Amino acid sequence: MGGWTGKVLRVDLSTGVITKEDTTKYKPYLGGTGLAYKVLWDEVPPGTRAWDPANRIIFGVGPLTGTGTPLSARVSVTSLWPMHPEELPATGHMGGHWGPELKFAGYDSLIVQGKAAAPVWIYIKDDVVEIRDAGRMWGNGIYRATSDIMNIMGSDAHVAAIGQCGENLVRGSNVMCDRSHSAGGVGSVMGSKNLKAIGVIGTGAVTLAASKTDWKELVHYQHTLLGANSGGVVPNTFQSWQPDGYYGGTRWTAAKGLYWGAATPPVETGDCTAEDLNSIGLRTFKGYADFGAGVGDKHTVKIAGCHACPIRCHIDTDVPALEQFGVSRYQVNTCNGNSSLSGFTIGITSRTENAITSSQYGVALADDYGWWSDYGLAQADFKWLAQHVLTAEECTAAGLPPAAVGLTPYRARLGDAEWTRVSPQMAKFLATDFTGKMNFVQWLITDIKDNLMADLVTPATYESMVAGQDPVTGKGNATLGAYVGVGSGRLEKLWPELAAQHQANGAPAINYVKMGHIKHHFTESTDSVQAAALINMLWNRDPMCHTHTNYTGNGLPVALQNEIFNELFGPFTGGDAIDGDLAAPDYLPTPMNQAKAVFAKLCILYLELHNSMTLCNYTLPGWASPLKSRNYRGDKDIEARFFTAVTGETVTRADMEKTGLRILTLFRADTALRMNERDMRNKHDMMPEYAFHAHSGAGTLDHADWEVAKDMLYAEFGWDQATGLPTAETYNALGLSDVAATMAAAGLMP
Amino acid sequence: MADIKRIGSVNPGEIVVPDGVAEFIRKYVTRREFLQVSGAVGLGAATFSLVGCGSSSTADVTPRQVFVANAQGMIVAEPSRCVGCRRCELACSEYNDGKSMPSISRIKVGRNFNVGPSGPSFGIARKEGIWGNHRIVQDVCHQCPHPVPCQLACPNGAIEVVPPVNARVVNTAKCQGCGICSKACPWAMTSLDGPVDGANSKATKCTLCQSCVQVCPAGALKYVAWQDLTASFPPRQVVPASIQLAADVKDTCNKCH
Repeated sequence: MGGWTGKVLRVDLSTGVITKEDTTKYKPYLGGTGLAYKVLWDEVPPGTRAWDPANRIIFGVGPLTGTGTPLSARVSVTSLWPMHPEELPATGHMGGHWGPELKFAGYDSLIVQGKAAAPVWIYIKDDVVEIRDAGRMWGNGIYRATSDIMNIMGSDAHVAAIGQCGENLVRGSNVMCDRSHSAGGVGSVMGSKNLKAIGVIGTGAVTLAASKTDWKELVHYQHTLLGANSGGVVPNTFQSWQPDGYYGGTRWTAAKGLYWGAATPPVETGDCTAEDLNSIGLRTFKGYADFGAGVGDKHTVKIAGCHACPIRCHIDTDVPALEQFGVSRYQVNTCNGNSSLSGFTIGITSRTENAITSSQYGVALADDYGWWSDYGLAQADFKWLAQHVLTAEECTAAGLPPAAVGLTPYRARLGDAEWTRVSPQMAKFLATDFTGKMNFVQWLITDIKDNLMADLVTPATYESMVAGQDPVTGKGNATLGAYVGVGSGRLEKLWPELAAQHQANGAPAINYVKMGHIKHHFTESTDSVQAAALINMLWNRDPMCHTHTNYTGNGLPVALQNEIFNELFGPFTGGDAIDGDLAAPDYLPTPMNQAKAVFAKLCILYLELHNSMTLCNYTLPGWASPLKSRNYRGDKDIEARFFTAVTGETVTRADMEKTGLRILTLFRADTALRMNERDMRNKHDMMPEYAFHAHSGAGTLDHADWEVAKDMLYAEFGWDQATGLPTAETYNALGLSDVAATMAAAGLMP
Repeated sequence: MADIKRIGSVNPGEIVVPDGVAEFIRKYVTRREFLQVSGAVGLGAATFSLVGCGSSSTADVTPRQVFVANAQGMIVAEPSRCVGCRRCELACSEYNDGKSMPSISRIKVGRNFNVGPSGPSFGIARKEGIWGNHRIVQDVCHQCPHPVPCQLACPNGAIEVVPPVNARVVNTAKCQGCGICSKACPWAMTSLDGPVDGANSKATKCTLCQSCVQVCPAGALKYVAWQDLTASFPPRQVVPASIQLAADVKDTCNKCH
C-alpha cells in the first residue's frame, strides 16, 4: 500500500492537544477537499460561523501528493468560507512545495481547530509537532513570518502563513506558501484562530505500490501526453515542427528567438517539439503571454511553479524599476495574482513597462499583506463604485436620497469625514501620474489591512457595518479599506446599487455570478456555454474549475475536440458537447443536450477528484495530447492509472468517477444542511440575469434551455430534479446512507 | 556499529590512522594544492587497473579500492534553466529506491530552493532561491578524483568504483548505514536512508544513472564527459575532524604519500 502515510494530523489550538489519527476513515474521500468535506460534515455543526473556534481549517493533501505523479503538489485549504454571505464551505487551492513537504513529514492532511489564547505558529518537523509562540511575528507580513521560521527551522522549511490581512480579519485574505502560491479567501480563518503560520520540514518518504520499472514507465508515459499549462496541446506561437498547422489560443507560447530575457544569461525558449520531454517546462512562456512582447519576455527570469510539475506557470520576474518603490526587483506570481492590487488602478496601458511595474509592485505588497482580491471581483467592484455616476432611478431603487444623484457610489456611501480622508487618494486613483498610482495602491492595501471602523471597535464585522449605516443618508461609518476588504457578497447587501449592477452587467465586465461570488471561466470563456454555467452554479465560491476550459481551449479544432470526446465518453444523441467559435459574432449556443450534460458532469467530478487526490486542475484533463502519432488522443484513465500505481488499490475510471460523485454529493448535502434549504435548484443554483442577455464576447443562456440543463445535470448525478437534492438511492449507492439519515431528519430529502 | 570515535581503528579505542580524511580535504580542496596534487597523482592513473589499486591489509578479504581511476562521465547543472520543479529529486529516489523521498536524492535542489546555498538569514529578498533572485542551484555529485572523500572515509569500503563509467557507487551489501560518508563529502552529496546505524539504513549517492537528466523538463541537466570540477565549487560543509581515513586505507596511502 502506498501513497497515504496513514496519519492525519490534528492540532487543537484551544487545548493545545496534538493528535495523529488513522487515515482509514477518510479514504473513501481520498484526501484534499474530499477529506475536508468529511471533517466539516462530521465535526462542524450547521450554524457555526467561519471565525468560530469550532470551525475547522483543513490543509488537505491526498495519496498522490508528494509522489512524482506530474501535477500532484496541490493543497486544498477548506473551511467555512468567510467571503460567502452565509459562510458556507469552500476551498482555497494552493500549489508550491508545502503540501508535498507535509506528506514527507508523514501526514495525510492537517486539521486545525479551536483558537489559541495568543498568536502562535505550528512547527512540524517529521514526528515533532509543536505549537509555538508567534508574538514576534504577529503584525508582520508573510515575508517576515517566513523569514523568521526559516531562521528557526532551517532553509528547507516550507511555510504557509497569513499576512496582516488575515490577522485583522479582512475577509479578502489568503494563506500563502512558497512566496507565490495562495489559497484564497481563507486567511481570516487562520487569523481568527490566532494562527500565524505553519512551518514544515519532512525528511521521510511517500511510498509507491508499483514496481520501480512500472512507475518509471507510467510517469514517462504521462509526460508524453502533457501539453502546456491550461491544457493546451497545440502551440499558440509558431513552432517549426507543428505537423498539421494546428494553432490555438493556448498558453504554449515558446518560440525561436523568444527568450527568458532576464535570465543570466538569457534562455531561448525555442522550438519545443511535442516529443521533446526536456523542454516541457519551456513551452508555457507565461511572462511573454501575459505581459507582452518586448516587455514580458525582457523581464522574465524563468517560469516557475509547483513541486513535481513539469509544466511551469508562475512568472519569475526581474523589474529593476521596482527598487525605486522600495520593494525587491524580483517578484513572482501568475494570472490573477499579478493584478490583485494593480487591478485597482486605471489608465495604465497593458503590455507596457508601466503595466509590468505596477503589476509586480502590487504583487510585492499583496503577497506580503496576504491580500486576496476574490479573483478580480474586488477590483471590478471598486472601479465601478469609484467611477459610476448614480442616476435618479438607481438612487430610488437603492434607497439613496436624491442628494446622491450624480455622485459616485463611494461618494454617496462613505461618511463625510471618511470621504475627506480618502479623497486625496481617490484623486491619485483618477490621475494620470504613474508614481501617484503606485502610491495610491500602497495606500489602499494598508487601508484594507488596517480594516478599521471609523467609530467602532476593531475588528470590523459586517454586522457593525450594517449598524453603522445611516438609514436616511445611506452613508456608512467604516473606512474605504474595510468596505473593500469585506467582500462583494456583503457589500452588495449593504449597497443595493451594487447588487443591481451585478445582476445587470456583472460589475462591470462579466464577473459576478451569485451569492456574492465571482465567475470562473463562465459563459465568456468556454465554447460549451451551458456546461460553463452549470459548473459556475455549484460551489460556494467561484468554482475554480478548469476541466472544461482546459479541454475546449486545448487548441484543437472544435470538430476534433468533439470527435475525441465522443470517442472517449459517447456515443451521444442530440448533438455535440462543444459548440463553434465563441468569439464569432453570430455565435449562439446550440440547445442543451446529452453530450453537454455528460461533459459538465465529468468536468465537475474530475475537479473534485483532482482537488482530493491531489492533482492540478489548472492543466488537466488529459483527454487530448500533443501527439500526432496518437492522433491527438490523450488518456481518459490517467487518474485511475496513477491512483492504482501509487496506492496499489486497483481502480477503474468508473470507480474514480463514483468517488468523485461521493465527494460532490457529500458537499451538496453539507451545503443544503447549512442553508437548511430544500429548494437548492432555485435558492442555490442560480444564474445572474445578465447571463440571459446578449453580452459582448459571451455566450447567451436561454431561460427555458437553462432549466433543461439543470434537469439533465441533476439526472446525471442522481439528484432530484425538482429540488436539486441528492436522492436516497444516490446516497445509498455512494455509501452515504448515514448522510441520508441526517438529511431525512432535517427534512432535506427530496 | 562503531561510533565516530572508533572510525579508522581496527581495535576499538585505538587510533591507528594519523591522517584523517578531514585533513586530506583541508589540504586538497584548497584550490592550488588540490590541482597540483591530484594532477600529479593523475599521471600515475594509467598504471593502475581500471578501478584503481586496492589495499592489501588482509589476505582473506577482497582488497578495498583506495586509489581509483577517474570517472568517465558526470552530471552538470545549469541554474539559470532550473525551474525548481524538483522532478530530478523525485526521479532519483523513485526510480532508484522505489519511493518518493527527496531527502535521499542524489541530486539536491530542495535545500537551495528557498534562499540559495548560503542558508537562512534575514534579508532573504537579496539572496538566491525563490525568495531572492529566482536562481535555483542544483547540487550534483562531482564524482571526485582520488582522493575520493566518501570512498576513503567509509569504514566498510562500501563506496566502490564501478565500470564502465567509474561512478563512485554505494555497495549496499557492504554499507552498514553509519552515515560517515555524508559527513565526509565536502559538498554534502551523500545521504543516509534511515537512522544512523539503523538495521536497514543505507547510504545513497549518485551512480550516474542519469534519470535526473532524462526527466528535467527544462534541459537544465546534462551528462557530459568527466572533468575535475571539484575546485570550481566551494564546499558546502566543513568535514569534522572526527571523520578519519578508514583503517585499512592508511598503509596503501603510504605507498604514494
